[in-house]
Amino acid sequence: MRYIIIKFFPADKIDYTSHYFFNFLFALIFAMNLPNFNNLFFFNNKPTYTLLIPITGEAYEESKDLIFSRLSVNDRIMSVRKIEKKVILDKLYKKIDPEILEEDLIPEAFEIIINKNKYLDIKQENKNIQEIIMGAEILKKNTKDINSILVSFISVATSLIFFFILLSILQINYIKKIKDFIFKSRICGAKDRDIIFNISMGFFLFQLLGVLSGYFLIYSLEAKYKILSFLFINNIGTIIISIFIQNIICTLNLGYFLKIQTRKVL
Amino acid sequence: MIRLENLSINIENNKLLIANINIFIPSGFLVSIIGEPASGKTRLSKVLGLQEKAAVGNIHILGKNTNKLNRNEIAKLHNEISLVNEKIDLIYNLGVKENIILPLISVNKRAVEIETAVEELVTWLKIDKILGKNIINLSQYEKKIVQFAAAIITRPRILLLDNFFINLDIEVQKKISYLLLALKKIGTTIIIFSSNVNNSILEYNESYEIKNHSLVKL
Repeated sequence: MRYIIIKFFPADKIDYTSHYFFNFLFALIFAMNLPNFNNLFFFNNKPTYTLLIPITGEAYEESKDLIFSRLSVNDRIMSVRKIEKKVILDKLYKKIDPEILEEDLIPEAFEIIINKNKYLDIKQENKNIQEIIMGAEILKKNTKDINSILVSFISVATSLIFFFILLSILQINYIKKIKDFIFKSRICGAKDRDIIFNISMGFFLFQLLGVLSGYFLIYSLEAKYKILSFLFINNIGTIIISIFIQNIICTLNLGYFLKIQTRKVL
Repeated sequence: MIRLENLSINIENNKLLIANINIFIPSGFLVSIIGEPASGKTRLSKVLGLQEKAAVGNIHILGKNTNKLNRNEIAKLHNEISLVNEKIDLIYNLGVKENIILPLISVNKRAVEIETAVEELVTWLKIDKILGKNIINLSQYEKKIVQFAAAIITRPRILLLDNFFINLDIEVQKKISYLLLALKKIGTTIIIFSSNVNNSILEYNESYEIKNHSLVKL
């Protein structure tokens, strides 16, 4: 056990503790940035599709069924949900004078729900449905909000910049304290890669614990006490990527500084 | 075996310290290199210990030209050379035993081998009483012994001692000298850097002096 401690944990206890808390804190910060990460990288700005079917007199219901049958062939479409007339009227009343609005002319509207990260070729679909009912149309609306993307970008970039700066300051300080150990190991015959690997492993263990306990805290607060609503399970993919990136950055950064330090010895 | 070819050592600002060293030291030799303070003994010991670079020239250690070795090969050679610095260079946040065994841990020796090596050293150097102490609680003499123990625990083929015997009492000097003779017998090349040859027990195979920026044979 003593050999393992000397080999993998040559730094002070306070340094491992601060590395733990640093990663714990930034795990919380990154977790709070999850919606921003999603907004920037994971197609959260996908367009919405609305199907409008004008109410025609004869055989309207049959034609409508034909349209739905046609749409069901497309495997990108998960389902179609009717938008209540009241909702449409509420929206229209905001823009058109209710007195001139003729309710009979308002088409039936349906929201088309498509598979995650998929898009519809509306040109082709419109061609198909217009063969059934003239004037029927699928409208595409991009929900991409430039302002929200800008806010997400600033938030993510600021967190990352602070993370990098503080991480570098801390790691340079850790290495400064163990430079005698690194020098001794090197002149005793240890290879650079062994020194870098051993020291990095020690810090990696604490950073991983820090990151995992940060997310575990959020999970507990959300699941047990219902305090937060990060939708932990829904965002599990983003969380795993975030944990992975945080650990990779910490490890590579430390490896880089250690390499510089070992190069100072012949 | 050590061979130095046209070796020159500079200090900062490229000022010449020792020029044109050409010597050959076979395996198992006990060599003394003396010189005035600031004549370049410590720098030469560090160059031979592969801790610093020479300005010009070649160093052949154990048949290898160190100028032509990559970092991993240099690391392998470091494993064969031990230098006991004049300055105490122990790691203060490690204990005595940890400092002594660090060279073995660095080269991934197994726990059993490390314990055996420590047991042997404890018998030779009688350091059992200080083994559990912290470095900060040791006397200057004890620190030197710990440095020496850390240097010889790896059974180096080349042992360099820089001003080691200064401030050691006669009895300890004798004990270390006998130990050095034992190491010499098993083929260790030992080079002792000091201000003067003042050890009656050690019979040097060769002696050199750093004089007027040159290394001259005595």
